[in-house]
Amino acid sequence: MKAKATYLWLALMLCLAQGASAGFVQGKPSLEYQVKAAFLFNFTRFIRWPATAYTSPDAPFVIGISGSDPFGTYLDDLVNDEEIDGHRIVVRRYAEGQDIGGCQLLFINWNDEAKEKAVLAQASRQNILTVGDANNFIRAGGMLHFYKEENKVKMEIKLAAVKAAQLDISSKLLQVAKVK
Amino acid sequence: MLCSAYFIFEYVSYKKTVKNSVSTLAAVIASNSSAALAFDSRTDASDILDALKGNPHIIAAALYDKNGKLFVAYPDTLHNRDLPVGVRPDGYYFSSGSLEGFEPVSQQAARLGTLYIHSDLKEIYAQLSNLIFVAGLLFAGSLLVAYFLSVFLQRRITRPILLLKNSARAVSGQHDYSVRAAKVTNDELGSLTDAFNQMLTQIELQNDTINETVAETAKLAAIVEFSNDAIISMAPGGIITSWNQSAERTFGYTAEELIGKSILTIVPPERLDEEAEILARLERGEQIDQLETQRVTKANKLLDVSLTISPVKDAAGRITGSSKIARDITDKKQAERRKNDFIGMVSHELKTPLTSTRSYIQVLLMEARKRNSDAFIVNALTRADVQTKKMSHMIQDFLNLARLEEGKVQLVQQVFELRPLIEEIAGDAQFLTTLHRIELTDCQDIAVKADREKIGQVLMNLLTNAIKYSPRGGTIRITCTPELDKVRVGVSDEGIGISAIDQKKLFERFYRVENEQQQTISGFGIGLYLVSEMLRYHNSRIAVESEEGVGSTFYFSLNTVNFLEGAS
Repeated sequence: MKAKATYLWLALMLCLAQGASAGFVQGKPSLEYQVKAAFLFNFTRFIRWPATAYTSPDAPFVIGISGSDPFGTYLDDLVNDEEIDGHRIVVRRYAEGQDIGGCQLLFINWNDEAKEKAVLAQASRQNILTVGDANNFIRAGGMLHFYKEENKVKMEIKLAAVKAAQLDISSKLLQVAKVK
Repeated sequence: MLCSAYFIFEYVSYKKTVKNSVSTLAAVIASNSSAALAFDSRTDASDILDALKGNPHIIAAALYDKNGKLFVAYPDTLHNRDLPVGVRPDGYYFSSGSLEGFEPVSQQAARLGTLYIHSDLKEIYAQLSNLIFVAGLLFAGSLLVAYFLSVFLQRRITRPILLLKNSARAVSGQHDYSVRAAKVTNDELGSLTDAFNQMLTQIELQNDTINETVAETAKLAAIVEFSNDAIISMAPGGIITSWNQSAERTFGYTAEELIGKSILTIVPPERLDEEAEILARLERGEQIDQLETQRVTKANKLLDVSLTISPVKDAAGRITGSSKIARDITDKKQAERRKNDFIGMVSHELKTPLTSTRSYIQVLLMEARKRNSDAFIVNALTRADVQTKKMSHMIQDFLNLARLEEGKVQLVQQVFELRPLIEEIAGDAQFLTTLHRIELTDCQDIAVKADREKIGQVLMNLLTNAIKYSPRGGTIRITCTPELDKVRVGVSDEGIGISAIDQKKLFERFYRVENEQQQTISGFGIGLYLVSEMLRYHNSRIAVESEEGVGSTFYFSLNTVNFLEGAS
């Protein structure tokens, strides 16, 4: 009886530990990642992609996740049945080294700086908005960085990088973000 | 009412204006706050809502997220109870003294949340109170203008009208049409005054005319009233409408008794047919001139009267009645009767010796022929016979005349065939002339009912006249023209003819046509009178058609009877 309780506690702790590292518990991400998922979706409303961002007119708008996925199915549920400029929004997950062509918004989540840089390098040649929450994300060449301040999710934007990717960003978005 | 309608209109349009300006403001704020709402930035949202400070009428505002959860509120001090219980459907809602609106917050067609905005309506009330103030001012102003205008109009319009009224009152009160209204202005009222004065002038003129006419009428009425002749006027159909004093004296009836009664009241029963004919002739528009007849007085006494009756026509020529002038000729008739008696007596006294003279001449003539006496004696006796015969005819005519005048003529009506009578008379007449040829046509198989002897006299008179008045000779034609139940007998000559004037008087007693040509023709002027009188007894009339220098035709009609019936 006591042993059984001990296992149960252990399992619970394990779960919590994993949840903390992966960012979600039991299929639903933490509040922080729920907010970030919502922000990712909301970017589609405040940023315009050029027509060249799509391989074909009926190609979907792809929100890609490169690295470990902190959202689980939450993001998929959020964008389900949504579209932007006639393009259905879908979520795709990319493994290391996988081609990220056909993706318009890419959340990069590698704990490894080298891998992160490799993906950013791959994305920089295309019309892809790169988003990440690693501390060095902007310095590494990312465009939009989530950071926390007073326990709230904030954004900073590397405007030059966004412009270079030919993305048209709403001034309203710039008002609520820190521009670099 | 107009004012309140205007206020309502203004209130409604102010409300609309306020709603428009609030909704525009809300739309701007909602658009600006989309990123703040999307990226969970309350400070930015608060900053954006703080912009509403620029409009003092915005009492409250709030941003709600997609799920209806309050995101930020304005102003910071706002208490929760000043916010709506929940998000209502998009739109604007007026409540007492305030306007609440729910404006969608969206970005690129994606709904991000809702902006709540709450404005007071103090602006509207301020505007309205301004409006009421201005309207009051205008009202007072227009009252003032109206007052001055009425004073002006009083002077300009009412006064001339009052003057007109006074003039009109003076005219109608005193019947003084020489009054004229004073003209004050040269406008419409001036022309009205002129028209009124003109009307008065016309009335004055007409009044004069009426007065003259009344005087004239009174004069005429007096003439009629005091005339020695009875003057009677009648409506169509013979209803008496006026009856003058002389009529009262002559017939014994007063005007009151007879006005409204029929003229037949004074017609003796045996003359009713004659009066019916008079009325018929009047209705045809004919005038009856000096018709000698008899009328009866109230005391049932027969009067001899001479009537002149004329139809009275209105301006349009319609017959509206008749006027009758009756003159009592009883005395004249009395004198005539004495004269007739004298003529009758003389004729009778002359006839007796003449008959005896003629008998002796005829006896002598027979004896002379029997004894083959010399031609001179026979010739002289023959001439004497013709002359005495002629003389006895003349005397016979006088006797006939006297009888006619006395009214002693009795018709001996019988049915006889017309042609034998005509042949007989034509034969006798042919004896009187060698210059003329007497022809008769179309008179076979006609039976008439009449006094044979008198019709014979009529024919004889007409034939002797035809011979007398066609001194150059020629043909004398006797014609018969059947007409329904009558036959029209005509005697025409180729003589000197009769003028239109003479034709009218031809059948009067002792009338002789006077012209040089006819002075040589002998006669007393009683022939045609006798003819017309004898025909009158037969209810027939003599008629004449004539053209001077061409000839004359005399006509009369007789009642025919079915020949077989007459023969039986």
